[in-house]
Amino acid sequence: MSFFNFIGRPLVLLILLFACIGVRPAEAAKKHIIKFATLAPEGSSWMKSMRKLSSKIKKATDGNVTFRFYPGGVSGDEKDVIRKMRIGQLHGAGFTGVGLGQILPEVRVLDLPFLFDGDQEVQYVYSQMNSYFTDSFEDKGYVLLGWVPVGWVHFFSQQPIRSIEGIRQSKAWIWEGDPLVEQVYNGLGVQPIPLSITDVLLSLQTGMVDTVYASTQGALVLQWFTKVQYMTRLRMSFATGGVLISKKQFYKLSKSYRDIVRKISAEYLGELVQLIKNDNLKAHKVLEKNGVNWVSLPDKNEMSRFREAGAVARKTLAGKYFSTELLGQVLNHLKEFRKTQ
Amino acid sequence: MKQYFLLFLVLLLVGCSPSSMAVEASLSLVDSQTMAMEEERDPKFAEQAIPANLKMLEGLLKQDPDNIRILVNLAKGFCGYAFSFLEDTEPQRASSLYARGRDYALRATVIITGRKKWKDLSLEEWTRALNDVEASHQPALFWMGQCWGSWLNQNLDSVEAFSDIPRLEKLMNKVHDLNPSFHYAGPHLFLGAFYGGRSKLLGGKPEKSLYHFEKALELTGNKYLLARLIFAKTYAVQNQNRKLFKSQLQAILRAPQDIFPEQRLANEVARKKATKLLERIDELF
Repeated sequence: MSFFNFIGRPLVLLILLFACIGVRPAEAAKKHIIKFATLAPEGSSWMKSMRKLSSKIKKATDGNVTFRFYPGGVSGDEKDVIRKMRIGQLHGAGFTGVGLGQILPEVRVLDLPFLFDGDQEVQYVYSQMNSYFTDSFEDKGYVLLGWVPVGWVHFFSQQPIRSIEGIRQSKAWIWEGDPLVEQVYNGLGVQPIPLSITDVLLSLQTGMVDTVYASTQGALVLQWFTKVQYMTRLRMSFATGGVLISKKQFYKLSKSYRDIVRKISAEYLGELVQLIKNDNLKAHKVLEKNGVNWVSLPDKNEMSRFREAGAVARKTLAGKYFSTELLGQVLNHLKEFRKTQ
Repeated sequence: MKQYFLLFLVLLLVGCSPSSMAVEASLSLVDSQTMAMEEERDPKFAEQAIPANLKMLEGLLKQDPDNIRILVNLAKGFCGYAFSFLEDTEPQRASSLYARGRDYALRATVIITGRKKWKDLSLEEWTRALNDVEASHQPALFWMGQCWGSWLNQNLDSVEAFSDIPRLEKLMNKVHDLNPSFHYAGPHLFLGAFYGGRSKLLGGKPEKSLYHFEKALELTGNKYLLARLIFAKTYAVQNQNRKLFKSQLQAILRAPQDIFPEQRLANEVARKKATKLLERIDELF
């Protein structure tokens, strides 16, 4: 046996072996780091869930897919994060509806004021629309790993809000550049004061505004609860949110790793949705304990006027932020659900 | 050994005089012991010794439950131990020791201010109550805020914890107004972290934070290395200032071992933590 044969045979065998199993060894060895940003601070429910999710994914991919986190808004606000995702500096992030809407404006159809009446309606419509929005985000270059809504949005005020007239007389804040609430306020004859979200606390203190809107957890975390005395049972909307990852980064992963990331994300983000829902409910009690009083629902007539304002705003917004067909689909799903109740 | 001697002495004194007198007599020894611990150069040694000291102090407290010095020392001890040796590795234990420290300081606050319901005050009442506090109340108030803030950082997934933030802010601003130099510019250091460790959205105020950190460094003549550590860990990370992060941590590692003999243990802890934080630089920026 020649020397060449001696070392050649195993080499040929090795090449054959690699040819048989495709490129797997090289691929499996490739490490992927997903750089992920969120406004939620380290130690929050959000970050605790994300850390669990990441360690599970790391384990399931033999350490080849890992996350690097930028929590607590260190990567800037949602606009900054989107910009960084576009240039590849970040790969994934948790967004509120405002951030999601900057990528895919039509997703704001889910944020429409006075659209939903209860949790089950929300759940039904989200489940019906999920694949549509998943595909739409993919078309924009993003993979939707899961919805993580902010939750029900209430009015918080220094005077009790019991009617449309009550909001008209207040100094109502509007998140600057929020077209949805702008349309509704237009319809209600309210002239809101546009401010960035970071200026709200100070403006409540100085009296520049006296009526704001947020989820109960939001009002607590943003400290707005220290400057208001009332919160309405009336809910303006159900604020959406979700986790996106850039498609470019996602498709660098092998098919099996992509499946793992999708499956584990669905599981842990599902848990997080439940945690946030519970936190919003807990926040009700904490707010009450801190001297914020509930204002009961407006009477039937007033409620229908609020709903009517929502319906008018929807029509005005259709064709601008979402198509009339998309709005129609959402309303049809709602109708279907309400029929079964 | 020293602890057993102390305990023996205490028991001896308890045997022949009213217990609070005995406790009072042993307190100067406790103070010396605290000083000796703060001068310790070997963090591992301190880590093993401190729990026994704290248990001994809890024992003394049983003899004299309203003793402010013991209560404040316990708050300081539990808080310092949790920060130095548990926070990075056993956050749950750290959280529970922070809560224990906070409760001791709260007990001291209730006794010295003569106001029973600190815990249940509304924010408005809390603010009014703080108007009445005096300079002599500062140690209890400072350690209450310090332990409470550290506990809160470990419990950011608790909705209830968030409602404490405005109270804590009022408390520590008041403590700062009473004497900003207290405990190595502790009020400045606290407020630097408080305003620097959060985004503007969640109430962070980077300019205020920077002011407080600069004051803390100035007042301690750059010798209390924990100030640099917290500066890097909160403000520099939150503002993604990699250069500042690196320079502060490297300054800790470069500092001579005897830069501040009376706080050698804190400085050694800062050195250990700085080494670990520097290793994470690419993960944080």
